[in-house]
Amino acid sequence: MLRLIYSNLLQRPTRTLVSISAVALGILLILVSVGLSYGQLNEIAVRTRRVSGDFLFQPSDASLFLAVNNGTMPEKLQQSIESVAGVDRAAPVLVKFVTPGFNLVYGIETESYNRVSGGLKLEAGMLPRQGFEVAVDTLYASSKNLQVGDHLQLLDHDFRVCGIFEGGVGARVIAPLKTLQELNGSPEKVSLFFVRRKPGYPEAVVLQNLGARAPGYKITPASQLQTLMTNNLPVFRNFIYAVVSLATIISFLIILLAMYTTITERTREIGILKSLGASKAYIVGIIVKESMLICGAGVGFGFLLTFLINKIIERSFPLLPIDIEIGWRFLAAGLAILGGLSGAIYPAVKAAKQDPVAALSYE
Amino acid sequence: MSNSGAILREVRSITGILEVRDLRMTFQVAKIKVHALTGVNLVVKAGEFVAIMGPSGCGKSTLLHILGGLLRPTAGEVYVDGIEIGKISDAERTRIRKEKIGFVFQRFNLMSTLTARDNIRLAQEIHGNGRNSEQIEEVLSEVGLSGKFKHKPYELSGGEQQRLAIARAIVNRPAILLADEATGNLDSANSEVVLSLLKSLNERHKQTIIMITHDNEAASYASRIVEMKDGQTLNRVQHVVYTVIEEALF
Repeated sequence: MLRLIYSNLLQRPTRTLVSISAVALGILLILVSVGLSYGQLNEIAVRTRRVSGDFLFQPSDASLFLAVNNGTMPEKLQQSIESVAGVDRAAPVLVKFVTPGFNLVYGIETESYNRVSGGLKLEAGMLPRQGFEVAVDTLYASSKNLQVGDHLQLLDHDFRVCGIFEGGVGARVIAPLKTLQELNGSPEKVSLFFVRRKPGYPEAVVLQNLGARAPGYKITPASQLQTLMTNNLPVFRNFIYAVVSLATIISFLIILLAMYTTITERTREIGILKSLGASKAYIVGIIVKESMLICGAGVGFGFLLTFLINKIIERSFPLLPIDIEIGWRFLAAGLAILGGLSGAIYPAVKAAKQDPVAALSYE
Repeated sequence: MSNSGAILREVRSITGILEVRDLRMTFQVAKIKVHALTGVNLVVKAGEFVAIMGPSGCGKSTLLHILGGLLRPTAGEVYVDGIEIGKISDAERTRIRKEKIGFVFQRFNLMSTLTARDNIRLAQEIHGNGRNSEQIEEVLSEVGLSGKFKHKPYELSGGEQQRLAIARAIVNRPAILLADEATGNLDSANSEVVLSLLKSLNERHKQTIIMITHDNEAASYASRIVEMKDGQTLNRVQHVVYTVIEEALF
């Protein structure tokens, strides 16, 4: 049977390659989309957590996906938060999303930010204090080839790079809070506060105190940030579902089309198989195995393409992290095969049900 | 052959390896009923080489398809090796076809993508005969294609393709070989080779063969000729003068 299947696949190499490529495209679509999304989210979550604040204090309708938030909270809430029992310090931050490069810029007040984060580790220069100064992290500096004293176009303004700090903590670019507030048109407004608790105060107690003092605000423990960001974002989840569904449908339709064309083209061969005594199960088996071979090759090719695209993104866009967990690889492969199997069933059953005499006289 | 009760119940007292009683086949073409077979009676004994002759449209191929279990008759009885195949399920008929019938077609009907050896191997595999390479060598040698086992059908002449089709049909040693205009696409030289091969199989292996043809020369290789006309059989023995009994309404 395998020889027949191989020879059938090789007889129409273009169709076979197109089918394999389409399945691979589905795999690529799932893995790159999910990898980029999770990579970005995980990286933001990790960097946000590494600011070392114990809590993220936000307006009630704010998202953990910081890029979609604007400055809507009064900066003066800082004093109120800091007066809560167990709170050591609160650092006001205005978050701006910069489209080119998909980066976040934090507008910070240096003294409180340093206090909450334990102090950013500077590689060169100093942290921004006023005006159009920015500090960038090491990865951003290397990707843009920036040195202290260089100029950087940001938010349609010319900023001077005043410092470079070790990457992996908070945003890749930080600017003075006042400057960002002015550019944002929201003076004395912030997006969030990083809150640090005093030593010896349990997280749950401080969380309860904060909730009691500021009812209606969203207070997220930093320890849960990563999980909450990746699991509880409805838009993100829907995006992933949409991509996964699309990729599965692609596999289904391509295999359906390929196998349907195949059985139409091979009607006579199906008649021959029946004349030789092939059972319906045997004929279904041929079609399904053929589609499984296409899907298997498509999955392999998809993994290869994903690896190559991953490398290209890493080299060309170092600020775009890709994080493809092994579970997603299995899921993508499983869905491609499931889609392909579903697409093969109708043509396979149709082939098995063909009238042998009519099939043998098919031209 | 399965010894299932269902099949055993169908075994009757029959005289030949293949027996047909009052076989009728009606096709519905749009709103018109076409009576392809209108009462065929036939007995073929094991080891016989029977040629079925008749004009185009007389129902020869329909009869062959029913004998091979490819079609279910409208009425009548068809016994293959004692099993009434007209009343068993599609799956059972498929099994009977696999185990007891070998087909040779006018258009060869080989798998164009497979080599000669793999075409035969496919028949073995479907039969469940495993990969018996010796058997493949044997049948290829029997049909004179020993040196061409790697050739694909399009690399063989018409006569060679038909001999390959015969090799495929006999590899599992079926009880009955059904040949549908086996020489219809061949020139006279190749026809002679193929007919001689069929005759040799019949004589050497006592292979039961039923061959449809409208060629008198081809029919002369058979041990018995059955004449068909208007959907009915008109039995005669070769070289014996026969009489048309009656013409069926068509």
